[in-house]
Amino acid sequence: MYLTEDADDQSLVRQCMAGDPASFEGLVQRYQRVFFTLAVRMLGDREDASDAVQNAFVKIYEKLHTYDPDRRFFSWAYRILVNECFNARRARRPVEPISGDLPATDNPLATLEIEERRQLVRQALLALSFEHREVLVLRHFTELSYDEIGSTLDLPVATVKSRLHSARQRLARLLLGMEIES
Amino acid sequence: MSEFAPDDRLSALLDELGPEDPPSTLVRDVMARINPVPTRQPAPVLRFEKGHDMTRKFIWGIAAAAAILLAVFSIKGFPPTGAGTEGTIGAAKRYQAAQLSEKDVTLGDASAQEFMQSDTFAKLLKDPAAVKLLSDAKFVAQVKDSSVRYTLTNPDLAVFIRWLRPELIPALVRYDVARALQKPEVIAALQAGDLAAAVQKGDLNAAVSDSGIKALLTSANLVNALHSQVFVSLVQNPQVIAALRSPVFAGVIADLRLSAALESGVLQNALASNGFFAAVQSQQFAAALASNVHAQ
Repeated sequence: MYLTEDADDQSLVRQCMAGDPASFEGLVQRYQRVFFTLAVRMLGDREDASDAVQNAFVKIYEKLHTYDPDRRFFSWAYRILVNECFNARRARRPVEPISGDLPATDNPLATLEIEERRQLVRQALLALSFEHREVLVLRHFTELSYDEIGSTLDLPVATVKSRLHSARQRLARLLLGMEIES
Repeated sequence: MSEFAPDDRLSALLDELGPEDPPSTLVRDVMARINPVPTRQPAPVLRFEKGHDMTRKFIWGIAAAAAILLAVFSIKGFPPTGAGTEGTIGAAKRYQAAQLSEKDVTLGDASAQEFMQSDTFAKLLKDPAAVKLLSDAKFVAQVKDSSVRYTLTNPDLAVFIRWLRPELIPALVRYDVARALQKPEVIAALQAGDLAAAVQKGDLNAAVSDSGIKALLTSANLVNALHSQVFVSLVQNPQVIAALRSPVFAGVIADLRLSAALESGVLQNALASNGFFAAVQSQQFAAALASNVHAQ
């Protein structure tokens, strides 16, 4: 849903490697949304996520010479993003739940209900272990296949499936405890 | 919720979160941070085959982009014409200091030592224009930008810069001229190959009417430069285009000392050398330049 196809990634990477830093902007444009979404889901804080994504892009640029073009660019770059999320988590201030301004609507009660539900889901996600959250977020917010998630996380597909199953179970229990209306 | 239909209901809840919009400044902030970071690999010098055709529109688009950037630098400050081009050629002597030690070179980079033992370095020290330029910390900082460094090592660039100077740059650095060159009717006239007609078009005509630049825009030098294979090669090169868009590069080519330094090709060879930037940070390098500046 949020991950664009990377047909031109290799071309942009080649241009960067040839010494054209301006072409890196194309990669940032392409991946900023999915990276930011992943980082917000991982960290639960927009400012931390913004810092982590910025740092990740800078490191991606610096390490571009180590990128193996046989791999999917996203999978390689994602590992750097995750490391930055870990770093941000270590250095983070106390977690403040994401506050979302409610959009104007014709049905404020329904909007309020939806926003409350979203808030509970965000909190439940943050209550998961990092491993569970990571696999769940990758599955839902990038729509990577099991194979691709395995490649990205350097895990066997079977482990991806079992971890995803556990993560779902855990999230479901958390949400039940929060009494989300069905 | 009493019971989840595990996958469907959970998926729906997660989907409901939707994507997060990144801060509007994220791309700009990232690019601002990476621009000073040099790439790890030495920038290759690309060659282009002769005979490539390209539309004049593209040529003029690039020329206009370069003009705008040059205009910005003209506003911020532009070195006076002629400054630095008068470098006298004195009795250059090969640098004969003691062998380098580890502490002389930043991080003990072996490539720096190799560079300072090379013929390229010896030739560099004999080139007064290059020595003068490299003694300027600001210039050294500017050429650490990889796109600038790459573009400066393109042999076509030296030719092109020589062609443009001194006629065109004073015209291009004018903001109103640069703006006028972007107008569709002006571009159309330029595409038709009729520079004389182009300068009669509204905005461009107004921009140049009181400046005498009209004559420059129709000069044989400019016409030849824009129709030359060298220019075509340059604007076909994405690295060069990136450099033209770089304010750092605009600052570099606005430095009239560069023309002189590019004459011999020695500076370009040095910039393309692996150990150049490691060497340039060493005390030994600075001492060598200083002794040659004094000798000249």
